[in-house]
Amino acid sequence: MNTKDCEYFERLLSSRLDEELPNAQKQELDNHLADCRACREFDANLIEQRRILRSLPDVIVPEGWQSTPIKPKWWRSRLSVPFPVAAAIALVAIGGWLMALRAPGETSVGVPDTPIVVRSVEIVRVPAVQATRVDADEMKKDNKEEVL
Amino acid sequence: MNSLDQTDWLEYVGGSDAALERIHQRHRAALMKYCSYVTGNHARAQDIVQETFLRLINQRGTLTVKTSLADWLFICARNLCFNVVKHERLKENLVERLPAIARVVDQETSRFIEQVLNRLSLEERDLILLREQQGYSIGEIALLLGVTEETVRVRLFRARKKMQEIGKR
Repeated sequence: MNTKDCEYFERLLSSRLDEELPNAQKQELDNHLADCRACREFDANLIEQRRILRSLPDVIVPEGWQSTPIKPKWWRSRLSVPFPVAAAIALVAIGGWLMALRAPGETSVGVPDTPIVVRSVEIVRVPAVQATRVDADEMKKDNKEEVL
Repeated sequence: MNSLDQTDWLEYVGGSDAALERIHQRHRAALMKYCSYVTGNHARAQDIVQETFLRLINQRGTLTVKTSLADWLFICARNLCFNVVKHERLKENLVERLPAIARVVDQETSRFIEQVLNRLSLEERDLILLREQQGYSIGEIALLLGVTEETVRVRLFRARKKMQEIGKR
């Protein structure tokens, strides 16, 4: 039996292990196995591997971990901000902080360094402005005079 | 989905913390075993299982009962395993970690893990563990991985053949 044929029957053996081999191919496989020692070995190894894999030992779970009721940490449950958003917020915050730290003399408004002290405050009374009605004819007369 | 999972799943989505505790008790050992053998790192496996349950808690409001509980947990844990292994490039030898991972290891099993399982790629080991250790069917694995059943059959056959070839060396 050549290798190419064996590859085909090895696939069938893998399918048989998964209980997915169609009835039509079962007889064909059995006939081949009767003649091919290499495929019989392949089959035996498949079964042996499965046996070991299914009996792989359990893992040790620490006692404390086993009984720990899982509760989310408050910052993880409430602040689930994606990294790019968090980075953008951090950049804006740093930018604002740097602006606030700028030297007072360099401000665009030009705030003086020395503080202004108000020593006295004088209250000035402003006379009330009386509203007067201007006659329309007088207004026209004045305008004419200005034109002349 | 088994009936216990179904009941607890419904209760948990409805807001029951007691159901969460039962889900944790029932699934943590299987998840821990799978994650330990996939990553080969006991401490990472522990973190991954904790993170899986943390996600279950944080996503309570968006979970649907249509998804199988066990599948949800496994998909979540599996994705986390792959992230951890790929991002941290874990290169620890499975066999070096065996004393920490396994309860009792006979010589034959130890040799198999060291010389065969440890030499498979992450994807191959994952597939073999899902099928042989966790007992998922071909159809279930296809659903979990989002590929066709034929793809799973082909990949599984290649992984099995590779295991045999490694074993002969």
